[in-house]
Amino acid sequence: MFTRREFCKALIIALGFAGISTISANKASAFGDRNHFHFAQLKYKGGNWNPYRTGPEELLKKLKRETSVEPALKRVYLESTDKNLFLYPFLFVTGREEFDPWPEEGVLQLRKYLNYGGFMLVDDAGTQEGHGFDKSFRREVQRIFPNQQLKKLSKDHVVYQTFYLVRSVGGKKMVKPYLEGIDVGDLTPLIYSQNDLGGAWEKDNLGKWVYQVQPGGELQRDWAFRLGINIFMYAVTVNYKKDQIHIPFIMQRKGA
Amino acid sequence: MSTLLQQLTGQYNTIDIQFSHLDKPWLIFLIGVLLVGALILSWLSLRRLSSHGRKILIFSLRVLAAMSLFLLFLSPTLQLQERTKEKGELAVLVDNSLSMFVKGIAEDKTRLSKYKEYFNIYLELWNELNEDFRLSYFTFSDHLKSELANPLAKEIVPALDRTDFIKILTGLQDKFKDSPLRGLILVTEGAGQEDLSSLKSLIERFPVPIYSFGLGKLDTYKDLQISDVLADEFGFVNHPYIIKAKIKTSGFKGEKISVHLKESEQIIMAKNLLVDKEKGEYTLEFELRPEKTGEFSYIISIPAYPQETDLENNQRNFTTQIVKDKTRVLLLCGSPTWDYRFLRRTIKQNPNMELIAFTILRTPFNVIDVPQEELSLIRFPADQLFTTELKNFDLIIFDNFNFQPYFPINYLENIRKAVMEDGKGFAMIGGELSFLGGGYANTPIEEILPVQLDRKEGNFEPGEFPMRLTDEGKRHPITLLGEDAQQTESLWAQLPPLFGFNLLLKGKPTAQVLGINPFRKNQFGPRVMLAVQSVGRGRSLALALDSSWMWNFLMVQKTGDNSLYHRFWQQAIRWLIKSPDLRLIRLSSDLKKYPLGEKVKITIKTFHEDYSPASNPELKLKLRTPGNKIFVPREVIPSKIPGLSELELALPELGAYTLEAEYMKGEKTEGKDAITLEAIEARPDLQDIESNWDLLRLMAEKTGGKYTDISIERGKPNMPLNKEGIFKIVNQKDFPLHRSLVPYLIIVTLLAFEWAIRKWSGLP
Repeated sequence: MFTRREFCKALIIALGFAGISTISANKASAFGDRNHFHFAQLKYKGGNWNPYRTGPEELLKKLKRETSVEPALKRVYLESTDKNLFLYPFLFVTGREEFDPWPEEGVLQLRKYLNYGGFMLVDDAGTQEGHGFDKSFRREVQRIFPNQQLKKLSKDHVVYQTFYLVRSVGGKKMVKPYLEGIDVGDLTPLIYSQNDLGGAWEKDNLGKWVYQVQPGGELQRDWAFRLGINIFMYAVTVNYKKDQIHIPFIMQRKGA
Repeated sequence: MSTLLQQLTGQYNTIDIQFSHLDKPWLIFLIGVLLVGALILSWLSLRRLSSHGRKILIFSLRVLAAMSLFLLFLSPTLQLQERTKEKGELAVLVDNSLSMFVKGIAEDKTRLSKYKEYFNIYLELWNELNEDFRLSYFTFSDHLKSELANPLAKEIVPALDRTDFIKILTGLQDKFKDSPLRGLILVTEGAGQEDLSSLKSLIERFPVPIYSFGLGKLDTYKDLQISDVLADEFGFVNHPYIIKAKIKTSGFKGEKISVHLKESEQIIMAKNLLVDKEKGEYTLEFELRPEKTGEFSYIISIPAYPQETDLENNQRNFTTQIVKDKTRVLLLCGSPTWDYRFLRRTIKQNPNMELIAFTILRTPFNVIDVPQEELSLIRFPADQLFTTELKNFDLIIFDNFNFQPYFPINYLENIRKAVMEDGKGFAMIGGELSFLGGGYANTPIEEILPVQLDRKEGNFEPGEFPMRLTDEGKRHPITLLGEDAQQTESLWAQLPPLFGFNLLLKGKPTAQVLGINPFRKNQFGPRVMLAVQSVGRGRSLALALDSSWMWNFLMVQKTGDNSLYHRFWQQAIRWLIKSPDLRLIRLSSDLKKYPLGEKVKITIKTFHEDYSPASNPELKLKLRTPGNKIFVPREVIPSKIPGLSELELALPELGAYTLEAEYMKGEKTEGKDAITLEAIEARPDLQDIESNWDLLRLMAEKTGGKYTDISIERGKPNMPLNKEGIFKIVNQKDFPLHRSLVPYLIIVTLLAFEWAIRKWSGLP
């Protein structure tokens, strides 16, 4: 028969093993699925860097259901100076309000990150053109790419055809019916939406949509998800859909 | 004055005076200002003196003393010199390159003999010139050779070198840099000069007049010359390859000339040229469409025509390398991943590669609630790719790709045949959908893979690990990232660790294992991460991981440099497609063209299949001559350097030779290589015999000389020259006056007189 002391000892040991194996499993799965799609999100000072609790995860579920991509379903949170940044070639940046300037070391790291294969999706949840998040983010883009401006992506940009043929660009709102981006060579490693995509994706604990989407309603929400999936596909497949073999099919489907 | 001086001194005929401190004008100015200041003060101090005459006298003495002092400060030196007057130099240059010995049409006279005839009419010219100048005689081609006597008055031997006026004029300036060259008499036809633009800028700076002479209408010859052949060093199989032949003609106006393109003495193409000028230059174009790769030797030639002055320049040989077109790579990816993203960019960025990529964006298990028309997805064209199109690819890569949902197993047999029978390359990159996870056990793919699949332990294991090179990996061309094994090992150690790998049983006996996981072992040793093998006529590669992209992106973070990743994949692809520069035997020579009679040195490098040097290789050699005969060179000398042998050859006749080498191991051919060499005429000057009177005219005009066309101007050559000689100091004696007592005595005397008159005048 165990004494109380022996029981407690055994319990502690058992809990210890359980903890270790859990950690190991997490580490193993975290490390082992390094080639899986990880949704990394940028943390920064000031403002509200994480306005949505579930939105991105809803998109990841849709990505897993509808495409061959195997995403990790939990987000990873990183700062711009994080030494693990380059383990996650996809980075999501969002917010509603103005935020503090990113540290210089972080700006340099992000510049290298975007110039050499990383991708950044930026989503303005504030939807206030020239104010709040938009104002601060444009300031930071100037620091990362001092010689470039955000440019409107043309209608035939490959991001609009990487998976779905996206004909409408909107989120929770339709502030701008287009995406903006920064080009590096023939790629666009930074894409910016001012329409609050995350707001269109967000669900509550009961699985209901949190926000109404205006002006296009549920159809616009559907486009927001499609656009999100396309952006993910673009980050991984880049200009794949511009390969010659795809062009006749895409032209035909577009009705050209 | 000089005569008087000479009589007085018995030797010197010139007086000169030199001063010091002339290089410090500020000092001279300062001293001058001080002295002038002192003199002004001195004049003012004489106001009290009523006698104007005495005032002037005292002041004059002071001025003289000040001037003497000033002169003394300048340390004057009196120089007595014996000078002689010398004549100016005149250089006479006679071209004795082979082109000067070309005979005219239907005559026995060479160009040189026509010049001699002309100058022999005016023999007194040389005596007249001798009176005012010192004549120096030279013959020249690409260098100057001093002659004791006038070359125009004696027999001279032809030089084999090409005429080079740049070297000649530069050499002449060097020779006469300390002597007064007054002019240059140039006897040449101006042929053979290359790099005319450099020559023109030299002529513009030439310091003395050039008097040049041209034969004009007296220069008669008939000649057809292949002056140049313009063709790329490389051509591509099944692509047009253009050869441009430049032809110079002289004396064939109105005739139709046949121009041939030959390969190994066989005419493969012929074109006709209608000559419409007395002297002209034409370009003919030949277009080939090569069907095989390799090094090929061609000849552009014109048959000999009657009365042609020179037949040696009727042909030119050249060689070209015909290579495969772009490497066509088929990349199949089972799911969009970062590994695919970075590999795709690497291949796309190589302009020598054409990538056809298919990525499975949706599997049969995915659910999409939209009509097909709203998707950009296309059907995976497996039927087309693995039947009719397969032969068009040089390399097939399966990247984390499970074939089973998309095409039947017999398409894998097509891939196996393509590799083993057609020599294609195949690579499998790991992931959960590769190797065992892709259903490749017991398939034709497993047959060609360099590894055996582990059917017991499962397919894919997570975990962090570095890939370490084996000894073979440290020298294999795929993984050799540094200059040598040591540097390669050091570079690989810098690469970041990876995550997740496929469980493979072991490398096959015929394979080379290049990379291992040092942290995981089985009964055969550390788990294989990277293995390669030659299989049938092709090659295959297995990379048991799906995170090589980290060698790119994480290295950027660490060092800012992702070139090791790029290099690894470029080298892997080149090895898989059997790029010529990765052959197991490589021939090279120090030159491509050799003058006839010169020994040719060939270097032979041989490697084992793992690319370690292979010494004392068994070689089969064959030398094919221009006449299509075959010789077997025997004297291969092994060098002290492992894997290196040397061979010396003599090329007995003009033309192109091909040396073929086969590297044997028993009955098996390990590799082949071939090299083309050319034996050329050791008389470069006769390759261009066309006279260039315009050049001679330019030389005369730009230097202030004169060009004489002796076919028109038959009178005595008119050469206005600067006859002024120069004086040379033969002897000199110096008298430094500032070291003598006399100037000091003069100053003291002047000052003493001044003092005396001042005292006599009642001044202090």
